[in-house]
Amino acid sequence: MFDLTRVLQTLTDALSLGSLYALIAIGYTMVYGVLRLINFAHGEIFMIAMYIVFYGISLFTLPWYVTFTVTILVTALLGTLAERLAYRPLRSAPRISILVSAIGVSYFLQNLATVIFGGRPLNFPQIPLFTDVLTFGDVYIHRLSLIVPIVTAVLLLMLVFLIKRTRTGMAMRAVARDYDAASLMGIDLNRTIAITFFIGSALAGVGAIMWGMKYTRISPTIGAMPGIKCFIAAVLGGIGNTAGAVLGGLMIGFIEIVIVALFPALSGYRDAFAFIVLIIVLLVKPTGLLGGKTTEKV
Amino acid sequence: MKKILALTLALALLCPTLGALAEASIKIGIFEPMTGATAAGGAMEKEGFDLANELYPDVLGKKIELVYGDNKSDRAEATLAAQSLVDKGVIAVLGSYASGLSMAGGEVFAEEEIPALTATATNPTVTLDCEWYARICFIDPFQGTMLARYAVKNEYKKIAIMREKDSEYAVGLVKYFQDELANHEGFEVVEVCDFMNKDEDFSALLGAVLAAQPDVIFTSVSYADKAAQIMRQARALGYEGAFFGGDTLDAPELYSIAGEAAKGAVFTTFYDAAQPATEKTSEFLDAYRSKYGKEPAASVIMAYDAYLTMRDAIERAGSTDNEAIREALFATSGFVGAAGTITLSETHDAVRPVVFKEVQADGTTIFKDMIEP
Repeated sequence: MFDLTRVLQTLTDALSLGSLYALIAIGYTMVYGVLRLINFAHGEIFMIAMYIVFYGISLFTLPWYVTFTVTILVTALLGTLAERLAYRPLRSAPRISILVSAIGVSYFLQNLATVIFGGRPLNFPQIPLFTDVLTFGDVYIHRLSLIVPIVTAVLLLMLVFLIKRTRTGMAMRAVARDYDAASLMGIDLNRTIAITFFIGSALAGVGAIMWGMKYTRISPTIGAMPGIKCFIAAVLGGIGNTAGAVLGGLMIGFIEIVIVALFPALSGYRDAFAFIVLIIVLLVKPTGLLGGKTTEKV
Repeated sequence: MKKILALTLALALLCPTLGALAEASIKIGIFEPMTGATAAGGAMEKEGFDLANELYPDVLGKKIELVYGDNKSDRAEATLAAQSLVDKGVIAVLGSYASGLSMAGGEVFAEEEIPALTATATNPTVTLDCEWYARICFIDPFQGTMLARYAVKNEYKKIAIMREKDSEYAVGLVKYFQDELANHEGFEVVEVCDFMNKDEDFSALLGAVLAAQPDVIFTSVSYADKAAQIMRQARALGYEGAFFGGDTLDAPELYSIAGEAAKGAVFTTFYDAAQPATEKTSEFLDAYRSKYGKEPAASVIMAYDAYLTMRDAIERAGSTDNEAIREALFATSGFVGAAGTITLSETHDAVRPVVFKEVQADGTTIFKDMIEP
């Protein structure tokens, strides 16, 4: 039974999930671009953001716009702090050390959240302005499903502007190219990297708010799954490339939703399809869809 | 300085020896998920064990010490947690929430010959494959059959099933449900959709489910939060039919996460507070309400009863010998617990009625039906 209604419904669901993945994937790709580091703690920073919203609205009864602003700021600072404490001291160490450190931060945050917030799942506060359901004929659309793609698009444009048109962006690109040379040219390495983490984590914060309102559940392990999916999305699109991350996120979202819609019996294997696509793409184009040529530094 | 150090070290060496000499307490292991996907289930049962330990702190004239082992909602971790409980010298084990975790632990308990008792793990394999495991709840063939009869009674002709594929409990329950439904003319399962515990987005699956236009959606999940997410997303897609599910839905998260969407959902459970079962019920309810200031979920009272049943078995065994405790435990008959009378069958499973409850608009649940086996 694939009438027009169902097709439209499926496409909106896919677009909304894909844009969410895209938003989170950007954070991975930015950090990788600048530091050549896969920030495994990204999913956990995303998780902490959800708890901040919960406590802001449910416990301190702050209005949503205050809570959201605070959440994004605190999340951004947390990401920057992680960089300062766990990654910066290892910057001149072998690549593998900093990677292991990232995994450590990820486990640390997950366990810290379990200790502080407890293992029981909490409900994400619902804000009617975002979570009401609109109906167009027989198509039911969460307001969020429309808001998420718009937010992602706007943030992507702002980010592209920042990277291409501002001095900070120029510094980022220089550091990404070669950070020894960049620091010789007088670029403040620490500051540039901190800003990258700040922006990447802020995006994780925005993603967490959207994710929470859409899926309504918070738990200390909730960051793991989107963390992996968005990492795949970033690699699929070409890690280090912002537009690639968005493309990758959208693709993963569409594959997941469309495969399940077409073959409900295969739904238990839906993650496998995302991986199969990833493997095929990497076989054909090892740097990802939009990834540039990489020159291995010696 | 050196002297102090030497003295401290000597004391530290002496302490375990002294402890062994005194043997002041009897250790019972609490084998539960404290973290991970079913942590909330473990938390509910822990409340029950702790409360029972407060009210009935001793056995055979010795203090009962509860030793906690977190199986982390993961089968590999469960084996490690079970082994670590055994290494800590527990003479018996209580738990776990989630049948799959009990099965993983059961392998260790059988090997080490430690009697174990679960409060709420309903999959038959838990006690079938393990000669050292018993349970005080009913088993899924019974629960699944009763759910199918419930669907028939309510004339739900077209049934869609959402099944959590990585939960032994959820998969088993669906099987027994379908076995019984096959005996009824005119009732069919129009769609069975699988998902994994870590999934958050059910929109595509629900699209397929709703296209089959079911009268009811049966959510078979390892914990209430997943059912809550399914209900919420189904309502957002315009679904107006009914929901029902098994005993895992009896948890506060069902309403706190699903909100209005859970209204009218029906689930099976072990017990209902509005129907006091025995003379011990009010003692439990008073103590629970004054300690936690809320109403208990069924898992709490079941855990409370599991503790009392095990304590009674040790008392009757008259020693801490594992064989004697197992024999006494499996012979439990007519033991009066807070949630009802417990008698174990020859398969070391309890035979007890199933209770049906319904979620109200304000999040409370009301008693709907009780069926004796």
